[in-house]
Formats: sequence, structure tokens, C-alpha cells
Amino acid sequence: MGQLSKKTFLFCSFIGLLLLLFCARGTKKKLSLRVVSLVPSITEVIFALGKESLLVGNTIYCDYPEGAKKIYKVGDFINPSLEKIVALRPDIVFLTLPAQKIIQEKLNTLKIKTFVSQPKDFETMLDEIKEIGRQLGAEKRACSLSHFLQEAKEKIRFPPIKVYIEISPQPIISIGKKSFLSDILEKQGLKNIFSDIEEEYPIIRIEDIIKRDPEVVLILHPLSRKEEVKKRLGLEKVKAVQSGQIIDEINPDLLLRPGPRIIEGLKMLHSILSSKPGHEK
Amino acid sequence: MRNNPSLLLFPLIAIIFLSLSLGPGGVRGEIIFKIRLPRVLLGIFAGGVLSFVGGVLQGLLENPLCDPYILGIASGATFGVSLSLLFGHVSYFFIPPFAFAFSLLSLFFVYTLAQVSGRIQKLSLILSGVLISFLFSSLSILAMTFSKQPLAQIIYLIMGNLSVLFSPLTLMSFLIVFIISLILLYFLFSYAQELNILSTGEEAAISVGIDTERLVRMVFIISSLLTGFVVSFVGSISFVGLVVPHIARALYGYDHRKILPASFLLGSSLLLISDIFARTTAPVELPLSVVTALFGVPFFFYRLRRL
Repeated sequence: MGQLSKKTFLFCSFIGLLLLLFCARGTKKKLSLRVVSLVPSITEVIFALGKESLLVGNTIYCDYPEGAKKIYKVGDFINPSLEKIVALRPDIVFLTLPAQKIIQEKLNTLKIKTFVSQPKDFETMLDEIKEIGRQLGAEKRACSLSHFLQEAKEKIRFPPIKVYIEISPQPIISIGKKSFLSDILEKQGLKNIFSDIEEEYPIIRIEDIIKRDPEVVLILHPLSRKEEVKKRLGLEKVKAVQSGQIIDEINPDLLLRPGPRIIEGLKMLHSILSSKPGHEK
Repeated sequence: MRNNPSLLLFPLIAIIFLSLSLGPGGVRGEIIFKIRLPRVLLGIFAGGVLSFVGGVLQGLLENPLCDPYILGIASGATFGVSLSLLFGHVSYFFIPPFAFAFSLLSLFFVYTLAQVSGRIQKLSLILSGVLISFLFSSLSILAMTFSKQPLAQIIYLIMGNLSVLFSPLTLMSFLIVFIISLILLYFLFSYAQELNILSTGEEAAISVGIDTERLVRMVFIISSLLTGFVVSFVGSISFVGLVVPHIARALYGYDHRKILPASFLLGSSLLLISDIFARTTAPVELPLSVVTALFGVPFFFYRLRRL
């Protein structure tokens, strides 16, 4: 009999413990926001705002800062796992269009709140940072961050050099007028040789590069190096190649992700361009 | 197992339960019903129908390399998908009707092309299927080039995936399609005996009074409709329709009355297992066609060595 009551006691306390745990989980859920980011640049913004504790999931491409790598991965950029996202019970999912239209539709069907990041230029990026700050309860920090970014950007003025920017070698893809990076570089004084093309990321023929004769080549992908570009047939006549002004040392993520690190990228580009032109052969 | 294909239902049911309970989201009502159940339903439907149709076509055309896509229907549906993406629709509301409309169009083309002086021959059927396939594939690529969607997203949609969410409307349309498909499958099944006779040679079939021309015509139309349904909902999942009928034949001999139902059950099982693999093994969700091929190729190779 005594043993039985001991068993019942143990059983009851076990149930009680479970209940306690359950309640604790319930209250915790109410207290803090749960956020999933499907966009590497937004992940960077969330970290910059000091709200990484709210981030419960991101993608395998979210690799900066170091802490972002340790967060639970819900999949890749184009095809994240819906089940993994839903299992995290997010209050808000950050995504970008048009690349993530499919997953957006699905999240809408499940009535999960989404925030679409689609910065057209520097100003909309700053607005987005502020909006993200508002959503995550870091309004002040977002304001000061965007203020800081704005000021830092104003300080950087490029000389009016004709630059060719390559983001993929095969096929050759450059950036057009509507892309985020082209907009910033043009506003700060550089001349993007393909800024007359409306498309964001147009596919380019090598003839067009030769015809437009850039003074600087900026390589923003890890697939080819200076030496390889110099050897490309036809490019030897281009000013940039003749004067050796080919830049491949900038981490592409710095300039291509519309996040806080873009200032770093712009500063690097600025310092490279202002060191003696034609310095290397 | 040897004689009664309906016994294959038991492994299928076990796999269904496995498929419903396994996944990164754990066991939770919402996830099981809203996310995994549609996958399972589509998996049973797609795997079963593709394998069944594959079995029928391999029998009819006496060609062990036939799969449901040889009739050119899938490429029509793919073109429909790329076209709807070109206009910016990615929702589940638009894509299946669009895809099916175009698979009907390609069915019409193949049917017209295959007619030689009013009769449909097996050879002309295969050739026109391949021809229309090429036509619509190149048109799809053309549409993709002009589409503003990133290419990876399009390929993901076309390569086949079961990651589908049902709204009440799409669920209704899926169930209607499912029921129509079952009726069509039954219709195809009623030709099983004729397929058995036909596989001993066309002359033999004609000599016992089978109208082979009509048989080819009917099987072609019904198979195309069924393939169109599947591709419209889940994209062109490869390899299942090719390899599963061979597995069925290895297990049950050459009687189509056994091979065809066995193909359905085995196809569903194989696709569900592949799907479990696709969504649980890697940090990213793998394209389904990749996994089915990884499973299918070694088996197909083994079969070839034993022929």
C-alpha cells in the first residue's frame, strides 16, 4: 500500500512538473517575439540592432556575423522548408521578393505574418532598417544606426570614373540601373557603364564591355580573379585592363547585401580607387 | 506477396504513417494536418498514377524504356507552368489549371501528328510525342528567359515537389481530380487482359479479335490525361514511372492485372519514401526528382544486369 502511494506521489509530481514546464513555455512564448529571417542582409540588420536573441531561424546563406551561423537553419534562400519555419512558431518572417514569392504565398495561407524587404536604393534600405527596429522593439537603435549609415555614406565621394561591375562570369552578369548597388555608386559619383540598362541584373555580351571601355573593373564574385579577367579575349584593349585597374579583393557580400556592412564595402572601394591609378601592371 | 498485389497496401500504410510522423517539425497537429497531410496525399496520387501509367505504356508500346513523359504531355504542362510564372503567378490557385490546359494542348498536337492516314500507329505515337516534347521544352526555356522570376525558383517548381499547402478551394479541386483519376485508372485497368495478349505480339492480338488501333488510341488519351493531372499538381517527377513497373514485373511476372495495381502501390510507397528523404536528410529540402533517381538508378542497373 505504502509503495503504491509512493508511486502515485511520484506520478503526480511528474505530471505537476510537466504542467509547470508547459506553463513556463507558454509564458515565455508570450513574452518574447520569435523571428525568422530568410534574407542574409536582414539577418545582419537584426544582429546590428542587437536583437539576435529574437532570431529563432535563418538560412544557410546567413553567415555574418559569426553568431548567425549558429542559428537554426530553415533551408536555403529559394526553397526554405515550410515545415521547419512553421515548427519554430514565428511571429514574423522576414523575406524578399521576387525570389521568395512561393514561400510568401504559403506563409500567407497559414496566416503567418511576413515582412517583405525589397530595398530599391539607400534611402529605402534605411527606412527598412527603421521599420525592422520598430517591429522588433529596437526603434532608438535603428534610428541611430540609419543615421550613422547615412552620414558615413555622405562622406564617401567617388571620382567620376567609368566602372564595370561583374557579379557573375558565366554568363557575364553586371548590374543595371534598377539595382541597389548601381544606384548608390552613381549617387556617390561613380559611373556604372551599364546604368542605361533598366534590368536589375542584366546578362552582358563581352562586346558591350569593350565598346563602353571601363576605366575600372570591379569583380564581385568568388569565381574569377584578376589574372583570369586580364586574359579574357578582347578585354586587353579595355582601359581598365591596360592600366591594371581590376579590383577583386572586396568581399562581394559587403557591396551586394543591402545591409549595414555596405559602408565598409564603399570605404574599401574608395580607398582602393584613391590609391594611385595605374599603380600595378 | 507473390500472388496478391493488394498485400502491398500494408507497407504503403506503414510508410504513410511514417511520412506523417517524421520531419523537422516534430509531432504537432497543425504541422501534420496542414503541411504533411497534403504532401502524403499528393505523394500517393503522383507516385501511384505515374507508375501505373508507366506500366501501361511499357506494355502497350512494348518498350521497357517508356515512361509517362514519352507522350509529350509533361512538356506541355511544364510550358503552362513557365507561362504562368512569366505572368507573375506562383500561387497554387493558378498554376495547376494553366498547366493542365497546356497539357491538353500538347495532347491535341501529339494526337493530330500521330495520325497517319487516319490511323494511330505505335511508332508514330512515340515519335510525335518526342517531337512535341522538344517543341514545348524549348518554348518553356524561352518563357523562362523572359520571366522575371529567378531561374532557381522556376526549376524548383518544374522539377517536381510535394511541398504544397491546400486552401479549401485547392483541396476541393485536388479531390475532384483524384476521384476522376481513380475512374480513369479503373478504365485503363480494364484493358489489362488486352495488354497481356498484345505483349505476345501484335499479330496474335489481331488474330484474337483485338482492335489494336482503338486500344492504342484509348490508352494514349487516358494516359495523357492522367499524366497531365499529375504534372499540373506536382511538376514532372522523374524516374518513378520508368522504374516502378520494372520492380512490379520482377515481383509479379508479366500479368498486367497484377503489375498495374502493384505499380500503383509501389509507386506511392517509393515516392513517399523519397519525399521523407528529401525533406529530412539535408539542411535544405532536396528536389524530389533527384532523390527518386538516386533510389531508382541502382535498382534499374541491377535489373538490367539480370535481363
